[in-house]
Amino acid sequence: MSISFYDGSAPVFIRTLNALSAILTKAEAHAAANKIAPGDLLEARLHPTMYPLTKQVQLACDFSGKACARFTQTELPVMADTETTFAELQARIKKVLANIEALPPAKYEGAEKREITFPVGPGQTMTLTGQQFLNHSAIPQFFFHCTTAYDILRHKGVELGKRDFLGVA
Amino acid sequence: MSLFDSSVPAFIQTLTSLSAVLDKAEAHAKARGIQPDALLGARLFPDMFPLTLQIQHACDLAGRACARLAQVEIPITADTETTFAELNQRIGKTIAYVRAFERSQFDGAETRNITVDVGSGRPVPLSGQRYLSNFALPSFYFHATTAYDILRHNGVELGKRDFLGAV
Repeated sequence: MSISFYDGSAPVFIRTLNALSAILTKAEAHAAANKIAPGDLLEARLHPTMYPLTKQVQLACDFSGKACARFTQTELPVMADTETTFAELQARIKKVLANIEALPPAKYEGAEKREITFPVGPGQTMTLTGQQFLNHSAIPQFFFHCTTAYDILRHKGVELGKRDFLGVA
Repeated sequence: MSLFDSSVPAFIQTLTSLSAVLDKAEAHAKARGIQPDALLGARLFPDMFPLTLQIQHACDLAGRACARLAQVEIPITADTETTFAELNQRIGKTIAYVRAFERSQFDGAETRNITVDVGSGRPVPLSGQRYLSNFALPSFYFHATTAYDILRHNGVELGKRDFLGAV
């Protein structure tokens, strides 16, 4: 058996998006139990110049959803960043999961060698092979925002452990 | 495709970034008269690991993942680092260790049985592919990102480019 490009991409995103959803469920419960306004967590940041929790979740959704669209040469999902509640963030995660799960593994065939051009800043793009894009952009970016979402919640006192991040039951 | 492609270059990339991030943190401390220990021992919450341990864990995860996938002896490194220089040495050693693997050592790694405790308190058998995708890579990025987040939280001027490094 040899591995396909699909194995190292979509399932990784799916697994951690599900973990992120469960983490947000715990955060919402923590807020309710401790009479914390949900906005206090949703707008929390680790530093004034960093993005708040809501944006971290939105970016995790975008990096995973867009990467899978690029690998499969399908239309890039575009989502307005309008979420202001835990329920809305959950709906967004659910939507990106549905988008990723709808892309058949066969469409990933050959993606490792295909050139992918993606934005790296205002007016700037970069072109990498699918494998390089996965290793050096999509996966690090995705885990960066998922981890920072987790770190924000831990910093705010939500009881979570690395098992929640890894999605270990 | 080989699991080599999904592991070795990714670890080297982020470990190299992490080393540059630590250089910036050390320079930040020096420029502002901050004790290095204030950053090295910083945590995001009292029951989370401090910066030093986040770096040590990231190094261990990268080295051990490669060793497990290639079926060579697992490297054991004592956690003795107490300065930025020592942490950078550890990262440097880890990069050299990971870089020394040959692609052929990863042949068939995706189906190799790897038994590890992934956090449930008991070792579970996983295929090499699952071990890398479900445990080693997420854990590695978890500790690397948390090291970055600790430094950002403490005012070190860093951007996501520093985390991603030069592609």
